[in-house]
Amino acid sequence: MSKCKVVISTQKTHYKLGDTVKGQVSVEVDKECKCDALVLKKLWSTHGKGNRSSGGSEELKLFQGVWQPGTYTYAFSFVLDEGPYSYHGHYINIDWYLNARADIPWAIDAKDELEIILEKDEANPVENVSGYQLHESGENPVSIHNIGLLKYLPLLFVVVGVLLMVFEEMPIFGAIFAVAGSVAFFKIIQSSIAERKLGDVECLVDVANLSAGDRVNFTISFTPKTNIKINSAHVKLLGQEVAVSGSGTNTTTHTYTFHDDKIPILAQNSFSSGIPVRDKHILRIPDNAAPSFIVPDNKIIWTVVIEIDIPRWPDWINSLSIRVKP
Amino acid sequence: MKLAFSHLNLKFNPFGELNPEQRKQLAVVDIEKIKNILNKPGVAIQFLADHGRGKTTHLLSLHELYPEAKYIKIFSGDKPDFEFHEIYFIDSIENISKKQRNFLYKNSSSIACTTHTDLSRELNRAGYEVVSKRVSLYDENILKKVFNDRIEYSRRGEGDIPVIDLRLINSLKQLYGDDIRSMEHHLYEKFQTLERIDNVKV
Repeated sequence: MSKCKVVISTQKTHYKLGDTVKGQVSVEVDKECKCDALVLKKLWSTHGKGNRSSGGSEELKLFQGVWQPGTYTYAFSFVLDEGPYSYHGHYINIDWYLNARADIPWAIDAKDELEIILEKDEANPVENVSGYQLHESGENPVSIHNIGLLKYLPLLFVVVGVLLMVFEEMPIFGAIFAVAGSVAFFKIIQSSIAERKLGDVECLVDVANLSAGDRVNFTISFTPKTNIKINSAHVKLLGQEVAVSGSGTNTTTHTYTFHDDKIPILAQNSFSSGIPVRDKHILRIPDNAAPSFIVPDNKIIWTVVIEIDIPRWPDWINSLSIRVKP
Repeated sequence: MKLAFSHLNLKFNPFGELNPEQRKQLAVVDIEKIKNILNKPGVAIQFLADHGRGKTTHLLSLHELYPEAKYIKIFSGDKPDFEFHEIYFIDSIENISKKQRNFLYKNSSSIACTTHTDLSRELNRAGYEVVSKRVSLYDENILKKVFNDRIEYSRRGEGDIPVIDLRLINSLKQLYGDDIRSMEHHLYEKFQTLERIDNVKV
């Protein structure tokens, strides 16, 4: 059987958005060898604690035919015109790869892989980087409070859980569903219970066009329904990696918090019934913040979390995901 | 930004998640005695163990020898439609109800499956000759090979790479028994903070 060796080489390993990756694929064969296709592929892929996700795939067919013994080189070039940028975190890493594969009939394919780094050009940042698969954030400040009928969604889990227990002979799985649904329902309505004392709480977060280093305007306002004391209140800006490994019942979610900035809010701790309360703060996204990145099983997310701790009463807790642009 | 894990001469954290193809490639399993018996009609092989012991890896490796056989991964709540197949490979068979399992038994000649609970009585009643294999990688030398193979698989280039020795394996066994998944999680965290190529320590 003939021996075929494939090696990818490039001029450098580090690139900026818009750069062209130039290189060559070398093929060495010791006997006559038929090749159905020599294909070079560029793609990004995650690695780390979560199931691997990939995208941005682009292929070049470099050769098809018969190689006589010898060494052959095939030049290639790709333009790196979309993200994501390379990222090395704790549970999530994103890297770009060049992958060459010679499809040889009736033999193990010869292949090689080369990793490259796509970095942000800090001197000339690109305004709109594609490849992040995020929905656009709106222009207006977003209210955290308004979730409407969605708060009743966890009750669906409770119903499904009970049905599974009764009709499907799945008592353990059904019980897990029902308990998880009940806990989620309480978590959602606990803020509504807190509002029996606080009144309707409105939090406005200015979410439009946020990037690393930007300031986020945050406003909280409410009019207490009764005289009320609180233990503490704060707003947090969280940056987290959420990686999911396994599938089905073996699914595990791994969360790593890489940024946790907590600011105390509401300077006073007692409030009078009917007197409006309004407080404004500014949260700062760090200069080196990783952009938001959302693909199945691997997410880099930024969240604003507000907590008001009320003594001997359910706390008011709410959160809002914000999008940090690359 | 440096290339990932280049300071360890690796391409990625060896104890991160692998895809099923990579798991098959790196599987260290003992299926020598059972590898041919599914060709005989009326045989059921069950791989028995708790979570994280390597049942699926065993089933995937056995399936490599029967590429034509139907392989189904069953998730909770799934209700697969079992058409007749000579050999079925079922991952997580306990995720379907007893009624569905009986339907499966009627529609296959031989079965290989993974399960947390011993189904031998049920399989016997369905007419199968049952072969049970309790999955447990408790042998220090095998564990050492499993983990060092994963480090080797993530190698970046020629030269030294981190090594796991028997002392570390024994410490991991004291901490986690035969729970390989927990050992892998421990080692993942270790490799995230490993600063240079060396013998890995707990």
